[in-house]
Amino acid sequence: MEFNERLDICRKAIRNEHTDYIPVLSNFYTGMTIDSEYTLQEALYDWETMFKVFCEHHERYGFDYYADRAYRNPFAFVDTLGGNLYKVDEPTQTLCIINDAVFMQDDEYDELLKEGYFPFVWSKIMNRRCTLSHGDDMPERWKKTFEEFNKLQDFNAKTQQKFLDDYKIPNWFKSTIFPFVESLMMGFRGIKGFSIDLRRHYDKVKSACEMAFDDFHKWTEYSFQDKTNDIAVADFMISMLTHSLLNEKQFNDLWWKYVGPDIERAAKENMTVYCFVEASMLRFADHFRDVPNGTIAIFSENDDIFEVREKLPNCAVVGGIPCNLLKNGTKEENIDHVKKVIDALGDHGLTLSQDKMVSFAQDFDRDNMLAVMEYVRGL
Amino acid sequence: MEKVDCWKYPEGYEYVKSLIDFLPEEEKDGYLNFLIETFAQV
Repeated sequence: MEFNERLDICRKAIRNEHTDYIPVLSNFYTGMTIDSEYTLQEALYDWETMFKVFCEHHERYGFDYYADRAYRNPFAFVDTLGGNLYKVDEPTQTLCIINDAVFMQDDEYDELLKEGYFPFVWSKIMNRRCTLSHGDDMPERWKKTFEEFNKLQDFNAKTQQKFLDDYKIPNWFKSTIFPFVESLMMGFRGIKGFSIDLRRHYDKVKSACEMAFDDFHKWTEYSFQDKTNDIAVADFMISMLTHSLLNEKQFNDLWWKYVGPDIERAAKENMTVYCFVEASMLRFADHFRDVPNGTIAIFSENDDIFEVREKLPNCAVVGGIPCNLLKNGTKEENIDHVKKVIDALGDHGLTLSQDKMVSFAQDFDRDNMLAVMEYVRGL
Repeated sequence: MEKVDCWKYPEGYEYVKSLIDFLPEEEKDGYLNFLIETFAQV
């Protein structure tokens, strides 16, 4: 398929329009390497190997576009300063999260508010996280960090060119809408600390979100100003991560207040938003119900895709390939399920995708994935 | 040579920026900010 034809189909699907061909978005992350002939250690520390992993992955399944372009775990770069939150368990070929990321204490909100977002990240978060960055070898260590970061950038440029030119594959999205509350939970306070802060320091949590808004919104704003988008399916991507910990009022104060206006603006400017949801989002469905048709595509890990369509008919849906079934079902069961999804939802606004970030061997079975792709491509 | 605390802001930040010898001055802030954001997201 030619690039522009594929791009047009993928865009129509997330605009909630009819497509004869149902696009499939790969939600493979670390699973891409697990599915390859290489070990995690071999691929994660060598971009040449990772490039082969990614190309072979595409040539095997022929997905239409990719949530991860094989750069999700740039360990060689992160390891230069220490502070990698993951480790590879070699015997089981599993990526393990070491612990909850807590790099800010609960009594440091005033300091965060006084110093501002980036100075606080620099002097506190990075300082505490980068465990190898306090020796006498800092000039050499930073040079190595730049070297590895540049290799990551080169890898991204190389894969983009290869996928655009040779495979005719578009990018997933152009820019992001990302409220500070997501970073506060994930990178500053951790799930436990953030949950307690919601009870003990709610006004300070709110103030921090307000204070950091400009820092977080600058790239979104830039993309609203420069609407050029020749190679990506969606204009924006939103991650919904923290919402699982929030009640309705907190969701309004900390998340929707900062994201809602951008969604409204995207609709007015005929731009699209891909909404990536960890866990479930339907208890907040009311917020999305009045968004103009064709603005948002929703991928929700733990919501039933049929229920998402029923409750939010104005939104396109993404998903429909359950990882649990991919791993534990038969080929026939997988094909039957995808057929059911296409029969019910495939008239318009459907992009198929694995329903979780495929990260572990338990998330998929190669033969089942191939059988699903063969069925979908034969339609 | 005096040891620099690279995580002191803004002195440490400026010191690290000065180690970027492969970019013009006007591109160094953007590069370092992007590097930190990328690091933070892993």
